[in-house]
Amino acid sequence: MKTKLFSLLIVLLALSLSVSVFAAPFDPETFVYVGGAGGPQTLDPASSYDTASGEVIHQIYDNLFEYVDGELDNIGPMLATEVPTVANGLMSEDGRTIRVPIRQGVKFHSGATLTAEDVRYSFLRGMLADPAGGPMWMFFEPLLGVQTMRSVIEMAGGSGDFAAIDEVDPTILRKAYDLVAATIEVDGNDIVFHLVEPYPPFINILAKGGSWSAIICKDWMVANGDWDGNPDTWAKWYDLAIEDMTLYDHANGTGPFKLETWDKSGAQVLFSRFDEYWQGPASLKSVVIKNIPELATRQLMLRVGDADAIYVGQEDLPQVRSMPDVTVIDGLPQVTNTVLFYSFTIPVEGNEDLVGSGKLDGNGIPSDFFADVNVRKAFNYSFDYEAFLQEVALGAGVTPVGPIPQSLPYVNTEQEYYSNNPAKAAEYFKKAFDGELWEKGFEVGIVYNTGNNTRKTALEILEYNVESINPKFKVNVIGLEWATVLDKLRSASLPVFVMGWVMDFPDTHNFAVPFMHSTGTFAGYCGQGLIDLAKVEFDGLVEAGIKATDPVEREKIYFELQKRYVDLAVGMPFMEATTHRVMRDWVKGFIYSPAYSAQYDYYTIFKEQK
Amino acid sequence: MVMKKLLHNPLSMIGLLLLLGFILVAIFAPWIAPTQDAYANDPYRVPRFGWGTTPEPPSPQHPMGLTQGKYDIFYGIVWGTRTAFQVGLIVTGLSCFIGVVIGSTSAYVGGKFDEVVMRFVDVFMSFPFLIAAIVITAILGRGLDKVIIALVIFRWTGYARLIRGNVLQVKQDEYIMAARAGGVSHPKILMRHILPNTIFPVLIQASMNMGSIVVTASTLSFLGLGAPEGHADWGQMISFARNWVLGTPDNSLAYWYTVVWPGLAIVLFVLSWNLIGDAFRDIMDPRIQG
Amino acid sequence: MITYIARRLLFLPIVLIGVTLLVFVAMSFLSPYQLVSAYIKSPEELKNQSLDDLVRKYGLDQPVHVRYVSWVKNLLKGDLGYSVSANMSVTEAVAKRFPATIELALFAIIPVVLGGIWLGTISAKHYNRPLDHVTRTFAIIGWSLPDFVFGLILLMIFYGVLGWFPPGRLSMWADTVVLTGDFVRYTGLNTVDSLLNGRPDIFWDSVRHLIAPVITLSYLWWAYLLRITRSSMLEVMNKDYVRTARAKGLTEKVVVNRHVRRNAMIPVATVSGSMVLGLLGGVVIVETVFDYKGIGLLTATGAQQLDYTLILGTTLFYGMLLVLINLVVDVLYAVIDPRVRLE
Repeated sequence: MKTKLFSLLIVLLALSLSVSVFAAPFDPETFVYVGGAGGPQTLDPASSYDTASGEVIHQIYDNLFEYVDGELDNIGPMLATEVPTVANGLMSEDGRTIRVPIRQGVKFHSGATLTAEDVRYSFLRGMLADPAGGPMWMFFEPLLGVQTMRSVIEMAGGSGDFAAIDEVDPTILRKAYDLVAATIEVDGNDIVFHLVEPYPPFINILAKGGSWSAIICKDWMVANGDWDGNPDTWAKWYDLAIEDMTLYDHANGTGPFKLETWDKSGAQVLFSRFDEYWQGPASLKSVVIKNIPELATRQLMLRVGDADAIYVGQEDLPQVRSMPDVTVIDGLPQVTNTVLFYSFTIPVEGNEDLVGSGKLDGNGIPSDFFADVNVRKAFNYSFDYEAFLQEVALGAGVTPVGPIPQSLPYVNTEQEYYSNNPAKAAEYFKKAFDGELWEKGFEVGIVYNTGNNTRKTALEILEYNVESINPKFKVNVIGLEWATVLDKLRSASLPVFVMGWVMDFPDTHNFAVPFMHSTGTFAGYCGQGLIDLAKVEFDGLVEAGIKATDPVEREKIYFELQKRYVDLAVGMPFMEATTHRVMRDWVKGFIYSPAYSAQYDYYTIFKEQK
Repeated sequence: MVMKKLLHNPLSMIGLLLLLGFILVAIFAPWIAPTQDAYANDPYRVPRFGWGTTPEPPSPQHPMGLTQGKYDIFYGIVWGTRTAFQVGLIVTGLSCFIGVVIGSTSAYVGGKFDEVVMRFVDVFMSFPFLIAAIVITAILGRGLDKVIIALVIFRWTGYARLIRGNVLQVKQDEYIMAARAGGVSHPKILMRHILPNTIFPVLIQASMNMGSIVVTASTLSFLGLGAPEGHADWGQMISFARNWVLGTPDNSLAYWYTVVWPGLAIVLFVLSWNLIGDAFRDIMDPRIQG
Repeated sequence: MITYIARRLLFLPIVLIGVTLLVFVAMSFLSPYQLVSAYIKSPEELKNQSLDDLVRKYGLDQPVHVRYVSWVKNLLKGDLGYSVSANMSVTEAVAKRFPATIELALFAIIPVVLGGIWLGTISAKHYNRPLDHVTRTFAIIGWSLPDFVFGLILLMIFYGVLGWFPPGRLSMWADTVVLTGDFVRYTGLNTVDSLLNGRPDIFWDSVRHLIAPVITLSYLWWAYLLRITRSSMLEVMNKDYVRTARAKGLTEKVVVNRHVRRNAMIPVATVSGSMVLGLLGGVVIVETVFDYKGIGLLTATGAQQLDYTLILGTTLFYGMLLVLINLVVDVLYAVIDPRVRLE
């Protein structure tokens, strides 16, 4: 027996000696990025709408335009040869016709050469496929003035309320196709877009960073069983399940990297360099994007050099700052905001855990609690913006001045905004419900989605401050699973919720709609009360804002919108976060752009040891 | 008699002392770790001392340090003792009750009924316990009440089987036959004559399962499916340590206290039950195996 | 025997219908908009989508019984559906992830069975002497140490301090080799495949990744098996025929090896079923702590994301596995112990 133990020890010793294999040798041509939980959901540009999918698509495909050096106000051509403007004659005087000349001689990974027809096919196919939950509204809105293919079918005289598309009459489908097809034309080597109204950010939608406007290869698609351009057969590919789409896990783009494999069970995507890339081959030969939920593991991979860059959340940044040979680039501006929303019409029945008695009796809140502007203002004055920014967000961001991030144009940075002011908060609480609220008090449950520590802390700050104003005020911070939050959002049942919005394209309009328009994303979650208010106060201005082509006029409109939003305290924007990257010292050539949903653009990156 | 033997065995003695210690901590929690006024309405909420995330080492104010999110570890462990007893007692009590009712009725009635019930029990047992608990809590949503429901759903079957076997043996005994012939009602026979003679092994088994139930509940919390965030719960305290196991680059063990204290609490708690259970087993019957 | 096996197998469909029905009943508590969270996974992904369109597209608003019937219909065609959380069909996910778990379980079970029995015998032979106390204490502590605590401690020491045993299944470089080039996956077990491909370096790499999870997973079962062996050895040692053997003047060694150990193995064989069962549950934690991509981690993440096709698929799989394992155990039991007759 003793000999057995002894030999076991020997084996252990040998194993520990083999640890020298542990640190991988420095490989200047391979880059490994390790992200957090949740990898890509699909690689199809027409259905991808999350950052992890965007990260992969970004490396494989190119777009018509790009942000030169990543700067938002400097758009240059990419697969186009020129950026259309009224001055160079490629954009019509009224802004509704846009001509884009396509670059010649660009090769796809499959070896095919890019044509104008490929470009048209890319957009047509995406719009006609219009997968539910996808990003295609960004084309429908400027080109047809609607949001979905269902609405186009309605325009064509059919009903948009069908369960399966084969219920729709073929002639209507054909008409719907014609409506879509007419918006994009091929003219020689050019593409011509016909917009329904002027839409200043349309060029932004087509620029690199947006996965939805990636250019794909028509012939290759047809060869792989996708739609062949026939006006009568498109419905076969309409709104397919995510995994049934052709580009779900296949790819053929013109970008600097080819998709080697998407190893789903290993949660990683492998790329290899595309040597015939039209701008010249990249410096890296292969790239791996891997997802590991455990922060500890990611950190160690970075420490030993297995990973060149990792994802670290803002709150965990202090852990990596002190690591040797690691660079933390922080304070990178983002076009995003985080807002505390109020529901104006809260259902009481079945919602007792949040609204208590449902009455103004000190043991709950009435359904229209936040419909009283004084309550909203009082809450807005109760939040400690400064403490949140410095202590929770560790200084990574700025306090907003309204719903639209200050990094975008047409934001009035002089706008008077809320600050932590207990006296003012008390003043408004006293005014609310004609003083009844102050006397009787209230109890409300405010919700964050579990796992989001930052949001939880924000709500706890609010809880603490509101409760210290009047001992009769009770605020309970409640964590709910994201699934339950989503369910409650749908019925506007959350009295208070925190949500962030990351831009799709850098334009004020992309914030005005979700935050203020009565049909915007958030209005639906804030109850009928807000929808009614928005129709009166916001809708007209929001719609005028996007149609206006004159910057002076746009500025006037958005300033007014911002003022109204703040005066009415519709919500409480409290954070415009900056972002950061964590990488080894040897990573060079990193270019940041707030327009990219991808963390890294590997084309410019190279590795160099000191 | 049993008690006397327990007290004479050094291992079970340690177990009893440990258990007594935990009971005292649970009872006197409000005095050992007083609740701050701001949290008065929910003493199970662990106080935070700061809004940041980085843990802080033990200090005079916080004898066990602060874990991720600046939660006070000491407070969490003291009040977590109550949580552990709550979960353990409720789950054991409920599942034991359900198991005994179903198992004994099934055995007493017998025949087709028994067959159907037992196939039903088999279905519940055709599922790894932990995975079943994970699936059910994920569906029901976060919260200790959900954990308790999930654990009861998949725990009662064991007791049902155990008591069924015992009842089947006793059922044929002469005095039961006599009672039947004498016209005593069925529920009465079951309650007065059968159960008192069969329930003891079930109770022992149940008490020995206390430890493993607390472990399973903590495991769910560790996976983020159990107690709501910030609720005093040992499993959750440990899950807070997950991001910090590697320490800092110059000190790999910099955050040892985030794992060690809550880990020690769970281990000692389970250990106390197991020591007692182990001794019990040796005393009562060497053939009863867990 | 054969009729017995056939009868037991007939029971299989009942179990499978039972467990999946159970999941469906639980699922019926969820609203369609809770199920949508499988497609919109976090608040950051909530954009300009219409939740109702997604609900309609994936049929999440259909009543539970309708969904069950269509699920069963697809199942009969061999289609278990698509798992959103795993990004692949459920069958593919199980097929890809299960070998990893098998590998983990094999590396855990073999030493457990050999070592646990050995230690249990020692403990019983030295009944109530110091060695017995040492092994028993070791067993009781093992029995009391939750695997997530133990796993974290191992991670802290062997990864954080010493840097020996990294988490995951393979190092980055080895992973790349396995995924690309002409590395052939014969079994899905990295240790076996690497040897078949003639890559000892990858073999060592996968062993290095297995050590910490295997220790975590098996520690508890060492303790369990030790205890069972010990108590059944003690019981058998007091039996008449053993006393007779001793009285005949046979040496203690012969008595233990010939008479005691074999008979003491019977209860040990019975618990091995529950051990395999427990291991299947235990892998969830071990795979989570060590980021080891097996079926336990797959199930846990799927459940947390309310990915109901995956939950159903794995439930079905576990149910099947369990019934088969129990059957095998019962048959083995009958083989070891001639007194047991299968009816």
